[in-house]
Amino acid sequence: MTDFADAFKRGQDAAAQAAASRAEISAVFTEVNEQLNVATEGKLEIERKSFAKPQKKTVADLLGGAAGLNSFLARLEPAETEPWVAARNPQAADDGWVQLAKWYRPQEGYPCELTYDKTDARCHDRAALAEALAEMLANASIGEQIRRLLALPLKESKA
Amino acid sequence: MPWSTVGSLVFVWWNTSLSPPIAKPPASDENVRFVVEQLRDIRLEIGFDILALGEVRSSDLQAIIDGLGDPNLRVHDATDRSGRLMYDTAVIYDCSKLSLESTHSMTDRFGNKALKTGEVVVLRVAATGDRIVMVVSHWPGRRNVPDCAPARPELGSSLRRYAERIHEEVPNAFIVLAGDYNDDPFSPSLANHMLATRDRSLARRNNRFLYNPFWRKLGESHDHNRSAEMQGVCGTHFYYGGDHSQWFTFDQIIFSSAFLQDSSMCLNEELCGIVAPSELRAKVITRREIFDHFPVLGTIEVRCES
Repeated sequence: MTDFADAFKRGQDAAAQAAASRAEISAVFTEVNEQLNVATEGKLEIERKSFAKPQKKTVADLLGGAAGLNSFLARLEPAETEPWVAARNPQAADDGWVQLAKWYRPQEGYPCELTYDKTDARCHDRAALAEALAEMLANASIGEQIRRLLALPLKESKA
Repeated sequence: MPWSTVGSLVFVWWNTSLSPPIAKPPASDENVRFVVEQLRDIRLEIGFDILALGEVRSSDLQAIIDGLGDPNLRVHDATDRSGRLMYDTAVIYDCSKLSLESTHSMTDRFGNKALKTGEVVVLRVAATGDRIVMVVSHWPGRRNVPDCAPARPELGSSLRRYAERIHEEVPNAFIVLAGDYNDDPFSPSLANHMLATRDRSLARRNNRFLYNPFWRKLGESHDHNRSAEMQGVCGTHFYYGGDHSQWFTFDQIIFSSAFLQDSSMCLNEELCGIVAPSELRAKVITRREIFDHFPVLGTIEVRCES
């Protein structure tokens, strides 16, 4: 006889483990932000954000004249999104999020993946994720993107 | 659909043993020369189009390119010996048949330890415009990561997930995985986690599976006969101190389902196998030599609708 009680118990244990892993991952991002906040005097935030997936070119795009049809369809269908690790300067006049690395986190939490520049890192635990995020911040092309964010004109003060 | 063959693409993978990913001085000139000669012969006799190499450094690659002396050959040098994790793979390709679109490296991380999963090289085939995603791997040796370590299956899962992600976008994607996995075709990492099956019809039916022709290269290449045995091989890697066998089939070229379909690129299994020239064989089975791997070969036919 199938042991449903055991399956239920295993499912609950797995759910608890997944919730703990996801909380652990969030804690790593909190830690990154705490340190970046001090290092940049509040000029840099890193977070996981959803961005619209780039649209694939269709035959209509190639035909050019059908652009109107495409934008009509785009209004009907909500854009597909994908998660990214993004950064912004909350003190800048333009405080929009900028994509740094493609992010993938399964329901179970681990292994989560960071893809940027010429790197695709799959992290199997907290220490691995912390190390991978540190390496991402130390990467030259990510460094340049962050530099641009830090150099943005600041919001005008209301005083 | 009727197809006519317009050419072929020959893949070769070889762990050259010249520059293992450990702090070690460069290989002797004599050994580098030997590798160059072997590759020159393979280029002349088999005519590879994509040569993936392991255990090389930039100076080895320079010597190989100079030695091959073919202006059509281009190198993607993915080697890097500057960090804690040393990269030792590279891809040489024939630019008259292929163009390089992009590259990136994949790692799996466990705590402070990072393992190299593979180097991704995306190539465009000039004759058909098709895209080939190739992942070249040199997985850690069993001394560093034992065959029962949980990290090994994770490397297999990682490559399967990568293939799945490509298939989500392009269900008939042409994906080629090649390398020295330091695991045999039957190891759980490859057979159960990467899903690199021996079963061609299963791989054809379901693109979650990859087809591994190197299942067929597990045993003795020649029948029991002492004189024939002297020329035969029993795998792609020889290790004198092996517990249950001195031979292992660690070097493999694995193909996605699309290569088994009615499509513009098709696996030619007759030209898949172990390249074991006698001079190399003699060195591989000699303990004092550095060489312990044979090159492996995989061929695909390139076809156009007729």
